[in-house]
Amino acid sequence: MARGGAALYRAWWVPFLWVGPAIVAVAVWGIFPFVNTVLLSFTDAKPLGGGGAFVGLDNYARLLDDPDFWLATKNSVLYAVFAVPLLVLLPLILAQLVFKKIPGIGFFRSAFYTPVLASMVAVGLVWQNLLSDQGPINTALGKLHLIDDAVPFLSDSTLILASAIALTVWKGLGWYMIFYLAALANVPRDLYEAAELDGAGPVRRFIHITIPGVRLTMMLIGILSGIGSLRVFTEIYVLGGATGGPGGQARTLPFYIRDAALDPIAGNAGYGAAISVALFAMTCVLALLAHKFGSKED
Amino acid sequence: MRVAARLRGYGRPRELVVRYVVLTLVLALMVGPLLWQLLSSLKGDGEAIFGDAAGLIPREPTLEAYQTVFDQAPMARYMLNSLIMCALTVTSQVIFPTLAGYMMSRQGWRGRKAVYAVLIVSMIFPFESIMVSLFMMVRDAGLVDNLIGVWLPGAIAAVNVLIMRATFDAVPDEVEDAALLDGANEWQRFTKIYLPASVGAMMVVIINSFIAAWDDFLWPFIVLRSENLFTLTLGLSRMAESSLGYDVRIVMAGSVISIAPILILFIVLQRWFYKGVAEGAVK
Amino acid sequence: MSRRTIRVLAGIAAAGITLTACGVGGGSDSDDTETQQRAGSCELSEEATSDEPVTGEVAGEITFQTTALKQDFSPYFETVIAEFEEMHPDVTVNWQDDPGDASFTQRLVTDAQSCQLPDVVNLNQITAYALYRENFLLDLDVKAPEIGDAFIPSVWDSLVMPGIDSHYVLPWYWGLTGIQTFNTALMERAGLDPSTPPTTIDEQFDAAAQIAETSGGEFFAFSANPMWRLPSDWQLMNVEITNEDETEFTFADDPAALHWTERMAELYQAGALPADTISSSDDPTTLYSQGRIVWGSTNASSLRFVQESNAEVYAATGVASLLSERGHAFQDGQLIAVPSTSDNPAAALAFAEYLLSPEKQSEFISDERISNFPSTEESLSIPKLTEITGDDALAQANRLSVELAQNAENAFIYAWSDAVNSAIIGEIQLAMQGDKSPQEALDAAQDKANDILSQG
Repeated sequence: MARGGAALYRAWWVPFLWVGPAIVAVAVWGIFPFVNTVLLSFTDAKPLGGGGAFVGLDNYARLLDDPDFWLATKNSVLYAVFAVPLLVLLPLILAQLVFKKIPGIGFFRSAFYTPVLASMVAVGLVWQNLLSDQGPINTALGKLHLIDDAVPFLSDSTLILASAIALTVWKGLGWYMIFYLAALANVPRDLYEAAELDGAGPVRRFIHITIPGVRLTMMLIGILSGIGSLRVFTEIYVLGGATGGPGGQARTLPFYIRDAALDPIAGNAGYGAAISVALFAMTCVLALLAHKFGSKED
Repeated sequence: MRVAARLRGYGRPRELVVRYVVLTLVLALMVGPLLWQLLSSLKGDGEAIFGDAAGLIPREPTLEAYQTVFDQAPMARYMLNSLIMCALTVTSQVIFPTLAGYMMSRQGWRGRKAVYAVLIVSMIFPFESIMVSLFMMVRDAGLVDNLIGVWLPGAIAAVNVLIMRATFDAVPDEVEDAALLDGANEWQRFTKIYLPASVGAMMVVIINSFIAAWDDFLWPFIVLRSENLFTLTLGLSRMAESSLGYDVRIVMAGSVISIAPILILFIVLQRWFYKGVAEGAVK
Repeated sequence: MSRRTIRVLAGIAAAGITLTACGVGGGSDSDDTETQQRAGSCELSEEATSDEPVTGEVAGEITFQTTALKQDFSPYFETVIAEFEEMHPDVTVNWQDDPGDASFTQRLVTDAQSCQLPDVVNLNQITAYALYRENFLLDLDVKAPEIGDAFIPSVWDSLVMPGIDSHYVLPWYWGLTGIQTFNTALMERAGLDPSTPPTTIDEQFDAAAQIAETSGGEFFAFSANPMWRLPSDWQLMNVEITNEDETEFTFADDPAALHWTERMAELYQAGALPADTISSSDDPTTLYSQGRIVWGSTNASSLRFVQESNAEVYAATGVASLLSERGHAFQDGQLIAVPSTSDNPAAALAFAEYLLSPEKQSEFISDERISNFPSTEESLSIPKLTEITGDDALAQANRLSVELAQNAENAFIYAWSDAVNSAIIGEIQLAMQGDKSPQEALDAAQDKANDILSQG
């Protein structure tokens, strides 16, 4: 399918008039600082010390032997492994739930969107208070006699990560729900009606009509939420404190970049840059994987 | 078909009840934390927020915490600055990504894949790692302590180009083919066919870039120095860092204040927002 | 490798080559012969680098940055600036205030990298040290030889940078570590006698153990996060934290540090400390004002916040010294520095001198809301410090502090940077949760800390 038709003729420069401003802005404010970061990763620059000396691949060699780096990598990967499927599937179910126009549905749609509107710092503080040992969640579980001791949401590294993932998912649900609402509107209604006449239940209709109908959107959300998961910082910072959980065990890669690079005395901007490049490489892999999954039925 | 659908109305009663029950359960999960925050901010000085003694509903609701917040800081100034940031960001985020997204959805031009690669690559860097480079650039442009300096690096986001591209991709070829037969040129096809078809996606871009500008914290924090340029998030954080921050009620009131205007705006706009989402589809 | 991967990589490479060719890069390699004329990537003026005192005209525009003072002290600073501008009509002082939160250092580093440091800046010792090491601060003994004359001699003498005898910073208001604030009502509930509070860290730990047994989980001893207790606990216990010249950490070989870590782990596991605060950044004052912990901040000025947020807890607050084996309180202060990158060093130095003059400091410290000490000898004798009336917690804390101030020592550990702090705190947290034995955690902490030092 040649969209825009091969029959169309455009002068070679015409498309660049359209994409020009966007691409220039993205290159200047996105790519250029990145290139700077890559160059930095071959130096031992200190946060305050100007350029630093060229050290070749030393920073990358150090990465391989750094247990803290691997722990942060593991946490970031786990984050994506859990958050991405949840953020691809749950918003679709939510969208399906509010897609049909029944009385009061506007209220529900807006209410589900509310967490998106708040800043992560603001809702992070709320969650931190909710999840504390004497917070409402532990108090409620205690009163229901489901637990004897408070669940250590904020002091167990695994639970900090799980709580942070829950926070990410909770805050992201509404935002991706909108993507699906837009996509669902494009799925022809008569397919559903035909399927219903054939006796297909809601689950089968969901699997055989809805999912194929929104597959492109699922892929987009997969990529977006994957990239988002690898960039998580604020959630861990608010829930796990400035050390990133006890012993820094809940640190994600951006958290570790900050720790490694930005200390004014001991920080090593070159090493931080090398971790940034590693993070970038992981993101590329993730985007490729998502792309592969998304297009396998072509 | 249509008649049958209309006869069914809102669906079978039993199904409808189940639907509302599920909706209400999800509602509690989604809004509960924010509601708890609101209720906590309304509690009086002596009332417990944590522990067994803490009730959900304030015994004697009071606006004391809000009074304190407004007494301590020029809230109107902060809000105005936030609104200026939002206006700038929304404008640039709608115009340029729409143009670029349209062309990205067209095939058959040289450089498209390279442009796509640049867009994808630009989305990937953690802000923390390029922040210092960004700041040096803004400083060289003489834009430190200037709202333009806050705006520029986030003026155009690749993700919005991709959203718009996906929307334009969804417009069936037949519609364009028909316009082609009518002899419409590319700009006419864009404004007559594609723009109307992308209203929903545009609303999504508008709302989300508004939110991003409203909620942004770290970057304006680095660029801005003068208090009369502070955005609402900066102003509130300054307040939370002061002695007021030790009181959970006041922190909660502060974040309610930061959420409220955007929530009201959304409630006002949502009619067009969801209408746009629905109409964005080509029948 | 798929075609798309290749394309993406090719795109990055192309962008990199283009931009590098345009002369954009990570900057030049630092050259030792040049370091005296440069700070980071900033060129320094002749006026800043010569061996002569600054004698230029007191004129021009300068920026003055305070830390977290605008909220409460705007009128004072506006007056100081107005007075100074009247004395020197050719000078304009722009005042800005940094909130002084967790990103303070980050912002200052960013300012320094981009040669945008304020001309007169309020900072802490660790940041001052970082700036000094990269040549960002003026050598005051050379540039303004008499500027230190009015300060308390012991404070001024102790403010030299490690390894050298020169001054790069000026002392401003300061506080001390060495007191304890505690909730007497909770102590009684735990069966402890509030009239005989602990006098050593070890005794405090004994009391904490008793609280765990008697509180029924309704309240706790103190915040679990070791970040609020280190390095001061170790200093109070005379732990050998580093060697003499601060080039190597040695605490893991000191039995006192091991004993401390073992007890913290026992207390945490016994439920003496609120479990959810082990890595929380929340200031203990928050928990203390909620009546959840017996011991609040060791910082007397936090009592003001307790007074504002919970009158009941404030009324029950007791104050005593806690000097443990050390026997002296520690002095830790706010500093004023003039960066070498300043365009108007003469005006900047003149303003710094005026701000820190005995007259101005006496005015500043006389403010009832300040529970800190002035850095000039003359200002120590203001009525507020010598005639304290009242018997509430703040008055008690102030009286006690004034007494302790006479013998306070500056014990700042320059090697204990933020990165070192996170590394050590992190390992202690693991020991407290039982993931590592205390000795293993200390060894790992020391290795990491020395690793960080050797890279610095």
